[in-house]
Amino acid sequence: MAALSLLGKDIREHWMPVLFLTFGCIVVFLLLLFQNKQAAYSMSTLEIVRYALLYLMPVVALIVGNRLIVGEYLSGTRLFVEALPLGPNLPLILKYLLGLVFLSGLALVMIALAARSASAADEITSQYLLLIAGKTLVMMWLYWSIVFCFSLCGYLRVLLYLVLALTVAALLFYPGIDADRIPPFALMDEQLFVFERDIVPWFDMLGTAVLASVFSVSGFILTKLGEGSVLERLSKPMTRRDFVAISVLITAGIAVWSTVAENTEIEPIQFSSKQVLRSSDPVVSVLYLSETYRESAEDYMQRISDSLITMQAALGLKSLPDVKLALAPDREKFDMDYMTSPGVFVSANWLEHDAYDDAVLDSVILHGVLSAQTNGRAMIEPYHWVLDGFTRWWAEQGNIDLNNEHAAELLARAIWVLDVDPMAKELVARWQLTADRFAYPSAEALAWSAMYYIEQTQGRDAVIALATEFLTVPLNSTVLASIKDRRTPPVNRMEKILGTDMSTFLDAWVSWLTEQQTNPGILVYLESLPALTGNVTSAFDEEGVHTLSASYDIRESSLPLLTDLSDISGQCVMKHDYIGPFDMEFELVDDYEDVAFCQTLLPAHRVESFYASGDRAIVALEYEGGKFHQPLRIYSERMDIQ
Amino acid sequence: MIRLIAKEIRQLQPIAYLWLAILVFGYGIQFFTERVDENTFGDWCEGYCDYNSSAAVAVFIILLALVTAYSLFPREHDEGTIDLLRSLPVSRKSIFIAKVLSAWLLLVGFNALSYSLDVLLLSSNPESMGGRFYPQVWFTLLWRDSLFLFIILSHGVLLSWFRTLGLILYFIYLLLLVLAESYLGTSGHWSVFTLLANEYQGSDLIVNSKGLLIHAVVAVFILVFAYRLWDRTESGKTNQKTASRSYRFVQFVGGLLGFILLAGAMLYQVESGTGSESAATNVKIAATDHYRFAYPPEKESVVNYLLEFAEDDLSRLSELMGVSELPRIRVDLTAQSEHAAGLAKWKKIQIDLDSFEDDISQRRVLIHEAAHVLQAIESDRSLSDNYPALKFFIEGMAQHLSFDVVPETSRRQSNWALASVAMTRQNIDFNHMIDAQGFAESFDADLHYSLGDLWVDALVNTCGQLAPSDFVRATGREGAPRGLPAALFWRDTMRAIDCDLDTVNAAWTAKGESLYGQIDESVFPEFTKITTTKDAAADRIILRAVLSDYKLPSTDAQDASDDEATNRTYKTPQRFSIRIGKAATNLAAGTDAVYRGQLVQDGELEAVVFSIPLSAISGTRFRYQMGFLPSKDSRYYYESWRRGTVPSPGKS
Repeated sequence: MAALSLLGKDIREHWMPVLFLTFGCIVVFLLLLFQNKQAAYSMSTLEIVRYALLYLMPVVALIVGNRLIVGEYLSGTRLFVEALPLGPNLPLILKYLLGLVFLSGLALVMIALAARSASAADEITSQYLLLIAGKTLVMMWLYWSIVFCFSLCGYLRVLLYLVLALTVAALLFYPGIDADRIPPFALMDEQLFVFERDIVPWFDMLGTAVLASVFSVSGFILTKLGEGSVLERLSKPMTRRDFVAISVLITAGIAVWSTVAENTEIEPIQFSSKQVLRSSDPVVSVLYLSETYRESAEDYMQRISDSLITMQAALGLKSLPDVKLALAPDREKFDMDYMTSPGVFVSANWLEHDAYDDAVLDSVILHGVLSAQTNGRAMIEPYHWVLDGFTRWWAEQGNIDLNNEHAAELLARAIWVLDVDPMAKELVARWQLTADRFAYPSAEALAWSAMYYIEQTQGRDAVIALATEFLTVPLNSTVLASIKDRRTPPVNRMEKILGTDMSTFLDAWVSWLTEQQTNPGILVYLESLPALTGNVTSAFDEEGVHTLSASYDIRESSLPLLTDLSDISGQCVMKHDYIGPFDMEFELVDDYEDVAFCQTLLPAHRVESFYASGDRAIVALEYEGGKFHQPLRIYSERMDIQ
Repeated sequence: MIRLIAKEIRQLQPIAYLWLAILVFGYGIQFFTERVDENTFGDWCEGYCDYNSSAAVAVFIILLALVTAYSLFPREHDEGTIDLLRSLPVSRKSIFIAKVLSAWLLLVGFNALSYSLDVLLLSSNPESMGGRFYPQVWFTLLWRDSLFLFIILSHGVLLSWFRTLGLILYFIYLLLLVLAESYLGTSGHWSVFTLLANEYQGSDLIVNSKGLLIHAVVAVFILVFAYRLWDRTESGKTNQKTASRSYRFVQFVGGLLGFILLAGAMLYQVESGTGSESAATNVKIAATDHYRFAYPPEKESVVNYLLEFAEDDLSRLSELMGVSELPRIRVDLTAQSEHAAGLAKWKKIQIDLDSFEDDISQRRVLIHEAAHVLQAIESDRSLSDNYPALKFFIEGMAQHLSFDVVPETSRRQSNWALASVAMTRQNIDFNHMIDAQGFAESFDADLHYSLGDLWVDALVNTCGQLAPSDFVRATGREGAPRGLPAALFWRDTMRAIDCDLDTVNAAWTAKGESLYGQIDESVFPEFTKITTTKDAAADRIILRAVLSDYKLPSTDAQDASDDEATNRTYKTPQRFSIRIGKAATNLAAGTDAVYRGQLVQDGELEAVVFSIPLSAISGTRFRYQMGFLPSKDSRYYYESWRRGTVPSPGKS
């Protein structure tokens, strides 16, 4: 009788909102069903039950909890009810049951509606309906238990919901956990919830039910703790001390989480084919695809292993990342695929390489090794020139003798870059701009020339010291690690090793390069280069077709470059591509290119393009062929298409 | 007024603490997991201010504003503290304005704080390019977010009068947006999500000014309306029961009637649509050992054909996949879909029998979908965990197996021809294939089928007939690492089945090149000289493209000049079509709008004209992909996606 009176009191108090909520939910559900009919890839109306369980019913449970429990406990009106001669348990049990029955009823109505609008192809049998209803009711029980338990926690409940949401997110997204196999996630599986009709997921349902019981029992225990004093305390607003304590807890949680995430190691890639050469110290594997290529792979394996062993000793590295090199015969000579985590993986075609091309590939591999060694930090601009310069330097002369032809070509390229843009000497402050403007081969030559100059003037040890300082220490991915790394400015660290201030060093290096211009070996290269500068125009013609055109002019230069274009052996290439609104280094490949004879009288390139007004594009003019192994970028521009 | 605002801000302290906690949490994660001095403006923008604005971010901001709005009036009325405020010598209007303004200032304050912190963090990047800051974008985002918060706050103030019902109403509003997008392709200016759409002119962010203006004006009206509602509402602790009771009665009856009408309409729709009762009389059932077919009676002859081969084909499929235990599969042949000939989820298949004319094609679709069912079971659902990396493989394997079981030689050859042309002309490689979203943004997403089929063929030729199925099983093996980036996932799983990815890729590329060498290139012309004009009177934009022979990008200057002189040799395709990329702000998952093109003669040249309704385009920038039917039995060949701009009327 008392129970009935209490029930009557709750129903009188909440009947109108409950009515609205019920109708609202049904309308939402019907709209969902309606939408489901139109959805491109829906296969059953029962999918809507799962959708509602995931997105609608938690909100509904929250609303019910707020009305039924939170309001009464925060405002203190429960004390009136508790003062009645019914004992403290009955009102709470009734509220618990009332909420559960209402939510379960609502869920069953939804299942009924979905089943009613299902097609005959869905084969709605009583057994199938029972299965869906079972899963749904267990989930509803869990939702209500959580809401019931947290609602009793007063002002702390918001935080608890937040923690719960974060825990769910962590379980779903943490790579080490397969949430699909754990209840209740397994129960709500996208494929199994509706489309598995033959197997009853007893384990998942039981697991979910156990969770629901734990939350329910916790809620009831909470009301008993300290004879209700805990509940009383929780119903009061949180103090600043509470907020501080919670903030500390959250921060600690983040720290633990990030440490756990940081320590998740991924196994390096392994080749499993029979056409693989392997060495264990250092760990290098070369995939050569076919016996025809075995010999070249053996040569490559030997060379890169020797290079890595000696570099490891020179830089004092405890270990080296695994190196995997895959032959890709369909690729162009300098077209390489490159990945640095975990280990280093390079896919390239070295079949037609000469010694210069091999050095380029070696340099790429070493670049990957040292980048991985520093956890990617070596790529940041102030040090990037050290990484580029050192890796090429090691490939050229680290453990072998420097080839004079290579040196001449690299120096000629560096001299040419500084002739076009004297600001390119700013290795620390403008490395990205230089690499973007002149492309990787020229930037690398410039950095190599600086290393070569250091070797010539201060000896090999200075080069090694520079590399040791910037390319050997792994850096964590945290702000603290960044601050630690930049506590001493990079320029100061470089100056300490070089024994001079940076600007003096840069001026001396440029002067030394200028002196090299008269070297006959270098002159041969410089004299083969056309003295060209470029200009790119983007325009829409009268019909509205967009065209990109480029022309060349003779550039004044102090270098002995070619001005008679009939003597050149290479050709001019215009490359272009879409870029995003924000600038970052962009490697232009040859997907969109136009090849033409180098000439100055008329526009050399004119292509109808696919760009529209408002797009951004990068356009580069390069000189290819001739004596140089890799293209030289004459001009480049990032343009807004108007 | 200032004191009132200060008081209201003090009252909003708990909410402020909550937002602060979220802010601290966000930055905390960043501090513990990133070297912030390497973050570029582009990194910062990713997922929010890049081309594809994110609905998830919009939802977060909406929640933020709604929660704040809900903490303004309801509690004050429930606890009766509003009476105290009203007893002060200030007008009710001032109280309302102070409340709304303080909430907005609080939200704008947090927004500005977050943006300022971001500036500080971005300024720590020392790089000459990576460290570049874009003040126009930053500032535009700041004011747009502030205005957006105002708009949503105004919604919240009104909705909070309805208490929990308000949330349901907002949910219904979102559902109606989804419905509009499903039916009409767009929800136009009705959607608040379009307010966060991003377009760029060069590096300048262009916001949806028209939408923002409309919604801002509406927000002001909403606030006026909300003021009138709240102004007339007495606190929960006053004794004016008579007035409030009659008012509540009207509110209740009005709401109830509204609900009943809406529910009735929906129920009618459900009943008259595909309700089981009506459907039951129009559907026949047939069963075999492992299949249960539901089909419309008029398709009986096709179904009889399917029944004749169903079990044998399934048995052959299980043999090819090395599967010993077959499930019972339910097949719904009553479906009608514009999007797919067949769909499969776990142990259910849905096929649109109108997609293909030939019975043998329907049979192949059935086995294609059955292959998906076996894939899901054999991988214990793990394929779906890595779907973006595996989509081409999942579809390619099903395609490969279906062609092996049900040979349709000419269709397969035509698919392979299409794949080889796309591979060669659009420079598609394996790295493109393992990023389903990126692939769909650059190429024709349907190429996953034919390119995947080619790739699986290379896998079978390199590592054996069971290699694809072994791969499927390996994805769900005990201890398989999770959360790997696509490239690593592929290498790890291929290692598990003892097969070299690079060897397979090399074989795949070689096969593609070889096929391209064998095709009749003249049936694959290309679109050139593309122009866009606007027909303001018809509310359409006209895209025009001239057909010409395809020219491979020349790597030699001499070749390039020779190509100029080549005469036209292509064969005119029979049909043309254009896809318009759906707006990124759409809530409904759907497909891109497709329009037919008309061939027109322009002197010596042939041109194709596509007429696109402006309603299909959100804003002034759009994505499009032009295609044609190379031959009667082939699928459409689509070129890469391009970007276009809606020109001013009459201009191109």
